[in-house]
Amino acid sequence: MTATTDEVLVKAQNVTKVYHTDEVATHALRGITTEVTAGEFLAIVGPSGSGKTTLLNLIGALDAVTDGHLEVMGHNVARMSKRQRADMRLNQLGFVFQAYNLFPVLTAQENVEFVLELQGVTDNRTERAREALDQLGLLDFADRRPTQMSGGQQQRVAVARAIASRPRLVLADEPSANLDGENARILLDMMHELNEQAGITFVFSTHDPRVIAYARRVITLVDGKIDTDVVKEREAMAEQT
Amino acid sequence: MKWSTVRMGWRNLGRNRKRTLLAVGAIALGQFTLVFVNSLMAGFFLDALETVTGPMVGHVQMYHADWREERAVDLYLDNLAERRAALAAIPELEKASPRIYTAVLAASGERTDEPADADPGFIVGVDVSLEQQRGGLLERLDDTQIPGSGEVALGRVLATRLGVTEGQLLAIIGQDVDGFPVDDLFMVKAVIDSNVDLVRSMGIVMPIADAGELLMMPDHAHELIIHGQDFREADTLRAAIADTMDLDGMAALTWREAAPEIVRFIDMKDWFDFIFLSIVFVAAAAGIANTAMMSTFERRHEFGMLLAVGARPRRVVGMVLVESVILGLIGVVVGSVVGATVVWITSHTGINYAALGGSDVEAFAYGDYSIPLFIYPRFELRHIVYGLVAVSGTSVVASLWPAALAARLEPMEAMRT
Repeated sequence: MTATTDEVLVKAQNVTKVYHTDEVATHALRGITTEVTAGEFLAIVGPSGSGKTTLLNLIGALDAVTDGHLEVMGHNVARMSKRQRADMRLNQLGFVFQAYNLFPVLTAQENVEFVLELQGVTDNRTERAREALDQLGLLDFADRRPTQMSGGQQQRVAVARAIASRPRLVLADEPSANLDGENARILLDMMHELNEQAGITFVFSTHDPRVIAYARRVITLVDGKIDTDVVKEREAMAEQT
Repeated sequence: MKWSTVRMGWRNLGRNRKRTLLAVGAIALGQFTLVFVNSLMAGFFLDALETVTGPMVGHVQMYHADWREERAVDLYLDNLAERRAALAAIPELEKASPRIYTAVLAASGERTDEPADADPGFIVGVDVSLEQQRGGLLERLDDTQIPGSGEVALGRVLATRLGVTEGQLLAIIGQDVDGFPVDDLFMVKAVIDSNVDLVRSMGIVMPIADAGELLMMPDHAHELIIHGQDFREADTLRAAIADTMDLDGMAALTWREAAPEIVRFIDMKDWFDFIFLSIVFVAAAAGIANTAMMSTFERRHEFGMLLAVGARPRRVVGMVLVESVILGLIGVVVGSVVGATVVWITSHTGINYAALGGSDVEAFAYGDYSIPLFIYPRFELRHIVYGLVAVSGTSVVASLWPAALAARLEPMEAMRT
């Protein structure tokens, strides 16, 4: 098991997010304070509307906090320009979305390569893409387009795409939501292995008990607030998985 | 531009094939219209241009200073051989073809019991060897139709009026250069068409030696039709002629000066080109803008995702632009191929405009030019290039707005759609 280090990747202090729709203000997050350290395999859980996805989006610099202080990779996200945030997403973060979000006109390998190209990787791009696919057991599907793959395979391609750019932190929003039990298990095994072997930090939102079972730390959100923040013992993990 | 952007643009066009085909069809139709109609116009107007700068007035026309106004038989250029020798020394000059013109009465020369009807005709005495060359009055005739001594080539309209056909005799009555009556019989070697209206409607074309002998004007000509290497260099040619000989008592006009009304008519072609280029521009703009807008709105989620993983807005702009340009180029290629094929076929078969309108008229006259209604389109590469440039420019312009919209998307907002 990869031990977490003291390096703090995410630091949230009293983070608040309010959405305004017409004259209605919706408080998605109410004073979140927490930290994520390198090497964690962290699940953010809670019922629908509890603020899981909002928190992930804020950490992913896809959205801006309404109040409070949020640091990601040592940068105050609120002070970053649009371009700096895009650069951070590209070079230091990996994303796995609930709906896979692969480019439908690209093959699995091209989808992975595309992010590397955006990063400006020129050497061994193809090899790195194939290596990432291989890690997810998808080398035989490299030339298939998303529509020619199952949901589970597509989500694994999404993970391959997320890790190929060698991010420090992968954010996964309900990664197993559209997968059956078997595919969810395969996906989580692989994500877990990447965390263990490659030391990639994973933060995922979920309300799927199968996913929660894999997490070493579980933050539970209720009504935009942290209800519980539990770090599991190794023995408990072994029993659950 | 990244290759992957081009590849994605190309593949994206296949996602909604019906819409892509519709847009390509609109652009192709515009390009086809441009190529075909402009080729048709080129066939029509260039024929006029070649007639004017060829057999009608040449590049430069020389004659007696009063000939143009009065057209009297005694207003001629004398010392023809000497003048031609002087002209031959001009490097820019290709040929100087002398002509004699005079009005006569013509009738069938065949023996009949009835008196023959006479009709006005016009003797055109020419140097047949020069007029057979490119741009000459007899260029379109084959060797069996070229009149020799004692023979004439008769304009079709006059031949029809007189009821005279090839191989028959033609009687000519007129006045010589001194006003004395002259007459003679000539064999009709050929009945001919010509874009020079005078020849087609009234022409009695004969060797200049025969005309000179009949009209008692040896070594004389009413006109010298002069050709240089390029009709666009007519002013230079005229200057060279003025440097070579004394033009006192003579006039030397370039083709633009000699046939101004037809020149204005020919210049209309540029406006036709512009009009059809505008049609292509509008058709392409409508097709591309519509496709780009629809495509952009449909793929907001995808563009949002692209931005979410860290792509720069310019990458998104590039994707939208590339798709539009590819779409435009496909349309141009399709339209060009179809247009060029139709032009190639009709350039051989010709298009009978009069027949399309239900008429059997073959030509009508404008100035001294006989406008043919049987048109042979002429393919010009520049028509394709115009379309290519117009559509490429239109593709970029028409997709700028949707591209800007896509680039301004907020990732999360776009991904929620």
